Amino acid sequence: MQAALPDWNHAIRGAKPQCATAIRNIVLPLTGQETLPAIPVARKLCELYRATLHVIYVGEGLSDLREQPARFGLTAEDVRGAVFDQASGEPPAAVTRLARELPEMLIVMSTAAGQQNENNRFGSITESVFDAHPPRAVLVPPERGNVTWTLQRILLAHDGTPISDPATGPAADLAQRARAELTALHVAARGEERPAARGSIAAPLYVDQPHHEWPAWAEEFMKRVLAGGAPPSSVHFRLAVTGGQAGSEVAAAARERNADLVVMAWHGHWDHKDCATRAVVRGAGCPVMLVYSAG
Amino acid sequence: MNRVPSPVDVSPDIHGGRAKSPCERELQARDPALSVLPSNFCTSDPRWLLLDEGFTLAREHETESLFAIANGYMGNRGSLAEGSRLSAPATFVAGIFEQFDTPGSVPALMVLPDWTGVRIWIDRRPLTMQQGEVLEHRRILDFRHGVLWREWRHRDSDGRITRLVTFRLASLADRHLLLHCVTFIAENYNSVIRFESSMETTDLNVPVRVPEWRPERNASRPNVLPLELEVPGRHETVAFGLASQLLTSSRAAGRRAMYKDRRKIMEACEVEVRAGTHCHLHRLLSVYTSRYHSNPFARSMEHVRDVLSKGVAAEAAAHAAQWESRWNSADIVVEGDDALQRALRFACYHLISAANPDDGRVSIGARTLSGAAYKGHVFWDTETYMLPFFIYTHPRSAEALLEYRYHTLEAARSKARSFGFRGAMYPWESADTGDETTPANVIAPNGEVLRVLNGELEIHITTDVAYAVWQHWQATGDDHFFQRFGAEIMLETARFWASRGALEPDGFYHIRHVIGPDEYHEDVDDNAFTNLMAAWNLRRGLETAGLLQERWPERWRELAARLQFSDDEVSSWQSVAAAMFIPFDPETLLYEQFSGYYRKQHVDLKSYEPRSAAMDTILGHDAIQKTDVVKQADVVLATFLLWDEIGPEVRAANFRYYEPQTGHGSSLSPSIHALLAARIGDRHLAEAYLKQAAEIDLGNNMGNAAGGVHAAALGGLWQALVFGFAGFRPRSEGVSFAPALLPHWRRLSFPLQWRGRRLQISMEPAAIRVRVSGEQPLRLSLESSSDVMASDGHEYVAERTESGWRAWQAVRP
Repeated sequence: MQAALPDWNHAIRGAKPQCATAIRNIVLPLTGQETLPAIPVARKLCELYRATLHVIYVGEGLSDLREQPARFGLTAEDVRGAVFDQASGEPPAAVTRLARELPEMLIVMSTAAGQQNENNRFGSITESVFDAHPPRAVLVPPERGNVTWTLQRILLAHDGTPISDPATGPAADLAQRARAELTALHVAARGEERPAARGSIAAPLYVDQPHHEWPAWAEEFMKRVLAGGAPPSSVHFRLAVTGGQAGSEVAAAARERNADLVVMAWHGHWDHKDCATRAVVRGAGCPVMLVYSAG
Repeated sequence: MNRVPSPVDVSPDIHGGRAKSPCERELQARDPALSVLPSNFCTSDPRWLLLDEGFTLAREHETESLFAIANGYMGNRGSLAEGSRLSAPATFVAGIFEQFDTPGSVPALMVLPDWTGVRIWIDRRPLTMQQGEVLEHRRILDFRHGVLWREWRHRDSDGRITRLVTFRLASLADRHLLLHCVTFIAENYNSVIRFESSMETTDLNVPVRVPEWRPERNASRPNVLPLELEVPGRHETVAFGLASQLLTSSRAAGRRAMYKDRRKIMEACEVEVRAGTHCHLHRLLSVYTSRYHSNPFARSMEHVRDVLSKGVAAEAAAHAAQWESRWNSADIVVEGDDALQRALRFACYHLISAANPDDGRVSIGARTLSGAAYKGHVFWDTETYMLPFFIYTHPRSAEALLEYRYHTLEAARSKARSFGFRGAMYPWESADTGDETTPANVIAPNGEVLRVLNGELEIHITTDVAYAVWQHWQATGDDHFFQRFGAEIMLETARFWASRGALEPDGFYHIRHVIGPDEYHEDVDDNAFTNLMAAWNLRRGLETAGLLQERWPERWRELAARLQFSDDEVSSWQSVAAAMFIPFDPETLLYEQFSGYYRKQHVDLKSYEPRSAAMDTILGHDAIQKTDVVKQADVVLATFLLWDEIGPEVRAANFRYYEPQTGHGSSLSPSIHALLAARIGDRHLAEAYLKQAAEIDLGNNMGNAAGGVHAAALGGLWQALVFGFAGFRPRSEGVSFAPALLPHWRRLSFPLQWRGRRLQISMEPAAIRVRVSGEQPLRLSLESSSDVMASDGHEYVAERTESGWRAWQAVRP
């Protein structure tokens, strides 16, 4: 009558949804000197993902770029192993076309690509590329300069709604590849209604006893986030909560914590007033990975 | 064909309301040869049901809490039997706390082995929501009968359609019994089905005993599987006996097998089924502990065999009858507001489920037996927020809860001594022993380690316990209970207050270094709530001593000798109470919440609206202490508890002053504000706060019921209706009412018990009716109307006119 227990959970594990975290191709649009700071970021990400770098050159003289990269401010190391593609037609359309053709693709580009806009907008090419809602992209602020980029601290901005879940897997995956510290940041917002999406877990409205409520809430938050993104268990995953306006708080936390990368979900629109995504990209002082989430 | 269920698949929602498909639970009743249920076991009235339609993985922990079943002795979360990525199945026994020998460890309600696991294999493939297509899925909590239902219709990747109907209950008639029944129907296929019923402990820190046991060889008699655990940090064991019984409509005999290792026991049964066959798996779990039984293992095994011999149907019927009885004395009906109606029944269901009238050595934790949050610890929540429900609907349960405070008096005395005080200083948090169990530190959201001061400074819990004792005695008139259990609490708490503060040169008795109910302000002096209630406690202590001397002199002599009370000490309480510093301004009619409150930085809370988090999260722990933001009802709560001692203008002035400054950062706050707003006639605020109170657990976006339901908020909701909107107040000779119904309510009715009389109150916009039963008459009062002495068997009616109420008229029911 005694026998080994059947492994029921094996069947369950096999049925778990796998999070799409793999990246095989990284697309780097080059439009001029202002876009060069994106290169170290793209190179490092290629190394971490073991991905192929695709340089999209917008302008004349692609062969010069291939053969004499120094004329463009690049080193031979910057473009080693890269695939070059010269954009024909409108640069954003070329980037979008290539991005669609390449499987498991990530765009890395400067916020300042193209003609500079007034007000809060990014470069014209950057804006147009994002109009097409790339599934995953890293925006690099030009002010960081063309210097070596390391990845030791990742900040995952999570608003507690299921819309943010798609960012979790990529953040955790990248943290594991880079052996980086990962902190999930949740901002308890002022002036905003509680999220209505089912399965949301915003900061608690009732904190009856903080010494019980916060550890319990943090555990629940992390379990939901993990269930949504299934990161590897080896990742060092912390949770931090602050109060205030979401965009400015995430940006401030990124600076205070010397984050090397912010990862956040992006709803696909950022032209509304007080858009948190723009505030983070503008103010974080580090590259920001946007993971498109249709919600 | 493969499809993982998601929110868009099955339109999930938690609400009342009937399932969209015909009530599958009726399947149980259609098969009389196999059904274990009485014919009237199902209800389709949405006002008695909580329904979770579909499946949302992210909400699973919350759903498990809301759909928990319990009977005061045991509780079981509403987890999925086959599990999911976020499932956290848990069973608890009241009073069973584990404590590990690690620094900073405090006792925690022990999570017992998962006994709910039922895994089904169809042709060696597991039936799971992660594979195939979920055609229908819902969980239904039937408040009326105390039953958790689950209906699941599933198509696997080969097109086989399976229907499952399960129910689970924690018997209210036999508190050691949990019952789980699964009905399986192969709709369109023939196959071999394998049922695996298991009980498993996953906590490797828990020592497991392996009882001597041999499986039965007779296929017609179910095995009783044993498991016994030692409770870490306690000299206690918990024993389980689990039996599984498989019946099929085709009468097919299954093949059974046992699997057992140190931490898991499982019984598997394989049976060949044809399309349309119904298989019924009945699972019975008996739990006993060594707290009350010398051989819990033998008792649990014997108990299961007894139940099997009597039949599961008889147990289910007894359970249903008990719930019927409890609802007869507790159900509040609000006609015209179905959402509120459901919230009220949800509240009453969880409160009834949480209390055990047969055990005076346990109390109700902040999250009941529905979750492990707050570690099962007992707070003032029980006495101030939950107890009134029990006092007026099931006094025996109230007595058991107060007995817990009596049995833990020695620990409260010990705590007082450890701080250099006299009398009894109740712990802010307590578990099985009554010792202080508040953790010493907490890690704040920003990572900072903060010292937790509540165990040392939030001392109002001592007077909250005393207030509860007195309230119980006033409402029940139970002299025996008062002099046997209550009086000692009244005396020892009064003694504490006489030692906790000091008479200072200004001639006042000050109580410094406290935390009031407004926990945003720590370590303050002369908190108005604390001082008002302490003075009340001192006076009632003095009154208790006088009553004992006059009416129960033998008991007084015994207490005075054992506790060394002198006449001088007792009489000094009057002067201490008279000298108590009460920060009251007769000009403004306001109580200053604590010394220096008015100097705090003003925050306009409206400028933060809408907001998605508590104010201390937005402003920060240190910053909020510098502001005048109040966490929860503090002075406002005192005006309710001491209603007869505080004038109407003062009550209204303080409500108007403090209500706008209250951030409601505690789930205990909205209900009390609804109550007060209803009483002072602010219908708009009353309605808004009532809605907020009703949604604390049931709102779909709160996210913090994952660790269990908010029991104090549930008790507060009941109080808001009865004490607030019905305006119920106990008086010395009877009861009074001041109805303040909302415009869309057609009727508000509820039962009450007062000093041995049973009342059924029914309020309509134009009339109030009270039916009275009980040997002694009582005085019925209505705001600004004449009283009437109401006697047994009569119904009394008062009609509303434009100018007030007409006099009571007696009518035969």
